Amino acid sequence: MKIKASSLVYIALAIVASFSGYLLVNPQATVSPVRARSVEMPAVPNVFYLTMTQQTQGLLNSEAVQENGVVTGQSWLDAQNSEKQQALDALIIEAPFLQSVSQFDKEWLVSKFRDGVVIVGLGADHNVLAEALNLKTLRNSNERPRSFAPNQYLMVQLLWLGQSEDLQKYEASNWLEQQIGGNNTPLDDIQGPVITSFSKSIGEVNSENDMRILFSRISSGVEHAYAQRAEYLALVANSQK
Amino acid sequence: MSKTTFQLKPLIIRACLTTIMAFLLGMLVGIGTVFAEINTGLNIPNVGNRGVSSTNGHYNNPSYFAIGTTETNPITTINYIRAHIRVWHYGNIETENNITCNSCSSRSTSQVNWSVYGESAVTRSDFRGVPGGNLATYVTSYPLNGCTFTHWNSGGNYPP
Repeated sequence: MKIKASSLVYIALAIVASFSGYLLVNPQATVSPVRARSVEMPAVPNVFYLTMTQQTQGLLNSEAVQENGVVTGQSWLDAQNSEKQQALDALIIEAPFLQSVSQFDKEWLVSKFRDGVVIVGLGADHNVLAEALNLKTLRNSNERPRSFAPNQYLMVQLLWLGQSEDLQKYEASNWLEQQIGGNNTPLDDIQGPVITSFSKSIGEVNSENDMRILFSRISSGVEHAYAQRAEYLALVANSQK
Repeated sequence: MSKTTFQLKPLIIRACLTTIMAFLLGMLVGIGTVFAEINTGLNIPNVGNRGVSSTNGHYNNPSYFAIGTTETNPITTINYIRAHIRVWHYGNIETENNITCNSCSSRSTSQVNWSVYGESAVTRSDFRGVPGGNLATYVTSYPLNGCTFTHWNSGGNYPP
C-alpha cells in the first residue's frame, strides 16, 4: 500500500497543530517535574525574582539581584521552570503579577507558600498578597491598613509540618488566619509532633541598608525553613522510639 | 619650663593613644555582643516552674537582630509551645515570626532584623503542659527590657 507524500505532510501538520492547541490551553504541560528539595540547605538557595521589565524598583536592580544570586524571569512559567534546576526557596513578585494571576498560577503560588517558600510581594499591599495566596487577610486585627509603593514590600513565609491527619485539623480550624488575625488558641486533639511557623515583614528597597535587610530577611527565612524541616524529622524519629 | 613641656608631651601622646586603643577595643567587643532578657522558673500549669522565656538580640550598625525562645528547664516535653517575636512600627508589624510546636520541649523563632532606633522586639512565650490545660503566657524583649503585652499587641506602652 502506498501512502502519498501529501498525506504524510497532513498527518505531521495535524500532530503539530494538535500539540500546539493543547499547549495553548494547557501551558503548564511544558513544565517538567520539579526537582525535589534537599534535606540540607543548598549553598546558593534558589531565589527567583518575577519582574515585569528590567526596570529598577528602588535599588532592586539587575546588579543588586546578581550580587545576591537571584534569578530573574518575566513570566510565571519562567518561575515554574526554574524549579527544574533547583527547588524554590524564595520568590520576589512584582504587584502586577499578583493582581492578574491565573487560577493555575495561583494554585502553584499557594502550593509554594505552603511548602515554606519565602514570598515577597513588591508593591503589593496586605489585601493583594492575601488574595493571591487564597487568604482572607494578612493583617493583624491591631494593624492599620496601609498602601505599598512599588519600592515597598510585604514578605510572608509559612511552614506547616506534621502528619496529614493533624494538619487537616489545623486546616479545618482555619488556624493560619486565626493566628494572623491575633487569635492564638492552641488546638486540642493533636496526635503527633506538629511545627507551624508564620513570618511576616514589611520594608523598602530604597537604600543600601534596606537591601541588606531584605536579603538578610530572605536568607534568615530560608535557613529557618531548612532548620525546622530537619527538627521536625528529629521530633518524629524521637516520638517513634 | 620648656623642659617640663618636653617631658609632658610623650606622656600626653601615650595617654591619648591608650585612650583611643581602649575605645576601639571596647567598640570591637561591643559589636556582636548578645544582650537578652531572660525569665526563668516560669509556671507551666500541670508541669511546674520549668518555663523559660527569652529574647536574645544584638546590634550591628545600623541594624538590630533578635531571636525569641520558649523553652523548658529541666528539659520537659509538653503539649504545646509557642514563641512569637514581633517588632511594631507606626501601627504596622514591621517584622514577626510565630512558631508553635506540639509535643516539644523548646522552640526558637527565626532571626528578625530591623533598623529603626527606638523599636523593640517583643517575644510572647506560650506554654501548655497537657492537652486542654491552661495556657501560661509571658513576654520578654530586646533592646528595651520589660516591655508589656500592650507593646506586644500594638506597639504601645514601652517601659518607662
